Amino acid sequence: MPRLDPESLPVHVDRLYRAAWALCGSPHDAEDLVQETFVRVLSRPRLLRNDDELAYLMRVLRNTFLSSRRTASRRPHVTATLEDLELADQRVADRPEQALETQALYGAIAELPDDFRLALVAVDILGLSYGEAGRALGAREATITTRLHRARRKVVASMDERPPREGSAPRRSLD
Amino acid sequence: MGSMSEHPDRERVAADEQRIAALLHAVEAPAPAALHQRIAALNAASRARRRRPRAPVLGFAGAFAAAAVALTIVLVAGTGSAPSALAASRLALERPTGPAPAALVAAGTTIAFPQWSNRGWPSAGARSDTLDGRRVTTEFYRSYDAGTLGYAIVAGSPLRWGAGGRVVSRAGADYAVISSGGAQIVTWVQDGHTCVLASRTASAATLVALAVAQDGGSPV
Repeated sequence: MPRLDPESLPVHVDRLYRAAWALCGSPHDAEDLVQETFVRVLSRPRLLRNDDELAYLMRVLRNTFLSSRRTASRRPHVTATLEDLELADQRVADRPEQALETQALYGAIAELPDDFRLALVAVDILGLSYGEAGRALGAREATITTRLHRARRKVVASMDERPPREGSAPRRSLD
Repeated sequence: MGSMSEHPDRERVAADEQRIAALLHAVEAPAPAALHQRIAALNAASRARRRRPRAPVLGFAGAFAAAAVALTIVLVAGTGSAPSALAASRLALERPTGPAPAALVAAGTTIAFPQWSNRGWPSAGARSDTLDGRRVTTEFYRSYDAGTLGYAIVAGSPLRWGAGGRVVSRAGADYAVISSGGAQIVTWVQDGHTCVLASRTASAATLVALAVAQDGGSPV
């Protein structure tokens, strides 16, 4: 049975961070969640049963998120600001509107029910296949498909309900 | 019959979903550099632990080197917004605000503070603080010949160290030893939470010995 290679883990940090941000709704909490996930993963050798690395990490991220939230007994909250978005490069810096849209997107995802949010994070943010997402989340592939469909629809609805920003042009729809 | 083009609403919904999916795939929000560096430090410490049993002598040297690298990395990462163990140590150097109960468990954790009376360190009080939103519980102990020390436990994921220092390995675990402002500070991670022992009067060796006694052997 293959073992998780700790040396390969750093390449997944960015994607896990985005996934954690969408789960928590806060970039600061996302940092804590990713770090806690790596603490767990690195605490002892890990076997990859039917997972690839990313699917395995998604499972640990989910478990860490749920257990930490149970401990904190709180709903996810959105505290991101525009400054929280570390712009990857000048191409993104030149697109402040997209940065705002990203922030709104992550906020909308953080408000989804857990099952929908996890399915969307696994497939649309981490890039897992439906099958991998199903194994990582302990759900059937068909269930993941349904949850993902509903999650996306809720996000679309949430984005459509956003109030226009002060001083900005009238909000355009997602069309 | 029944094609997508005959159902404009369904077509619109599908287009919206595709757009959301495409937008999420395209998002460029990299993890902060400080997080990358903390993960690298965790990995270095993990690597050192993995190597240790195979070649004890080289393993110790390797662990020390790796931990030194990790320390350097974490120190470089010290510009991040998260609090540091050094900041927590300042709370451990404050005064207690009241007596400690007989069995005190750190807020937000399941870690119980030890009874060190039989080691010559009876309890001298406790305090509760918040550090950047994290709950910090501190119990103080006072020795007749070595003064006072504070033992702070910070709820939440491990903190960066935040100051110069060295790493010592005991019983399979690593402890960061820091000297700052005339105080000796020892920090380690237990059950996923940062623990800090700090004193202006006790030696670093004493603090490490107490940390080892309390800790189950988790790495920094």
